[in-house]
Amino acid sequence: MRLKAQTKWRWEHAIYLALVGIGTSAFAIGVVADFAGVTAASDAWLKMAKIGMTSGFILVGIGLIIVLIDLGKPQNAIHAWKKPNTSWISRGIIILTLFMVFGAINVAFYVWPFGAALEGSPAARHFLQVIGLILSLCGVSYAGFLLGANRPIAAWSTPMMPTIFLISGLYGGTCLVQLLSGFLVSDAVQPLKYLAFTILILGILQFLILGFYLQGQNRVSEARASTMMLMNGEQSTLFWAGVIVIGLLLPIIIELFAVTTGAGAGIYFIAGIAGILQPIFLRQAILASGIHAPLRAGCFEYALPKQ
Amino acid sequence: MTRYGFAIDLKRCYGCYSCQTACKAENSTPKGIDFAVCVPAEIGTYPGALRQMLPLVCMQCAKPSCMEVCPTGATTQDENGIVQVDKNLCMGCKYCMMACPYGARQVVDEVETYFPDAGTTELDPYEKYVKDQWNSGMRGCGIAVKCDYCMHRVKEGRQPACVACCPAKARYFGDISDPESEISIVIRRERGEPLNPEFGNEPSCFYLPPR
Repeated sequence: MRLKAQTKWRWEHAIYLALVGIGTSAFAIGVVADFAGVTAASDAWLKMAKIGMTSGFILVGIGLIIVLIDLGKPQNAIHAWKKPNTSWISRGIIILTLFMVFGAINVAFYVWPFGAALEGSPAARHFLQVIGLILSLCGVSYAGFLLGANRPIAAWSTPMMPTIFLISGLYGGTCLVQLLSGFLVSDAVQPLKYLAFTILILGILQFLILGFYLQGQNRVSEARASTMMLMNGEQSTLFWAGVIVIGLLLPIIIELFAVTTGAGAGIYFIAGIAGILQPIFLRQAILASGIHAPLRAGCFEYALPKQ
Repeated sequence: MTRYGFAIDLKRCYGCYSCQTACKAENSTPKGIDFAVCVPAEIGTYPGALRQMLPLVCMQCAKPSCMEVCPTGATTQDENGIVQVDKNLCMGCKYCMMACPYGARQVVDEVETYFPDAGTTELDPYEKYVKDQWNSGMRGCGIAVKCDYCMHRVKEGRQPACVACCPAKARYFGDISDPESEISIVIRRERGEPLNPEFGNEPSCFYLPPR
């Protein structure tokens, strides 16, 4: 019996999940940078905050447009908020809608176009930003809960899935903020160094989490099949080359070099691009290796006909 | 309260695919959609190899995962236990396809020709009829669709198409909440079991063991 992975959620879903994860994380990094900027009276941190919040807001918006286009009947998406008591998609829509509202307020009244309404009142904008921060952390991990709620797909139905999505999203968001700040913010050596440390820690955490996740996927045959698909099957190139080498090893090496040698901002370009791609590759690898449990009747096991 | 269910005798099913064909004809399902399918499985090696067919329909679960995960409320369950999809609410997110342990939910993006090698993607007149039938009523392209136990036939006092056509009389249909119904008696006598009960969906379709 050859177990096959699901094919209905494809690259479009992986990109949407990644953009939401990266975008919400970039917003969260922006909020933290704003607090740091006010505390340290540092223009570099404050500019980084604006970059994080604006880029995060835009990326989440693009992700939502992508998923809307991918729906079979987008005009019915207006009903998608109706069942937050049982459906993770409803919960996610509510979280992301609220995030977009708070993100829009932050961008409009702190970044552009309505100017400095919140610029001179850190207390007011911090109040809004904390709400945005909570929503962004919920937004980055909601996708993990979305997949984790699928009991028939053992590789997804694990408590580790929200953690994987959270850490991966934070990693991608930090890389994005570092990449943009390296170009747009002058004299940002110290903030970029802090971001580099953050990326190092998140990268190492991801190695550990992915190792624990794959090691734990041995309970049932479909979970083992998913793991084999990632390690040496159809998704092995994407996993090893995309997720591990390009997505994790390369940025970690570059960040380590930059931190230890004090190199300039330009070095973060390659690390940033690779770090942003990692969440996309990881989500696609997880989606493409999602195998439904076989149907069990007596001593026979039957692979699902088509998914 | 009626709860419709199936009992499928795996001793009798020999994999003729009559159920799959009858379902396609009855429900005018397009290419890529089969509400009733037969799935083969083999175990063992020669000379002890065994082959068994597994006819599948929607399990019309008492606790359907698809209804739980549906964000728009398009998936509902009526008083007879039949899980239905409202095409005016379904947005085609395919989350129900991930959540269903039995592969009962399907989506087709457009009605395609069965004969792409004929040098055209145009539908022939029969396929156009299927397309019109498919897009009318509560089904269509881009939304989740599923078996509904041919309720349009059941309301007229007839059996679902797959039950009526089975040459081996391997399929039983009836009210499983009535302990005196034929299907309930058969399930008790033959010790019928649902598929994958560990998921907790409480399916309404029972399988009578093959041997």
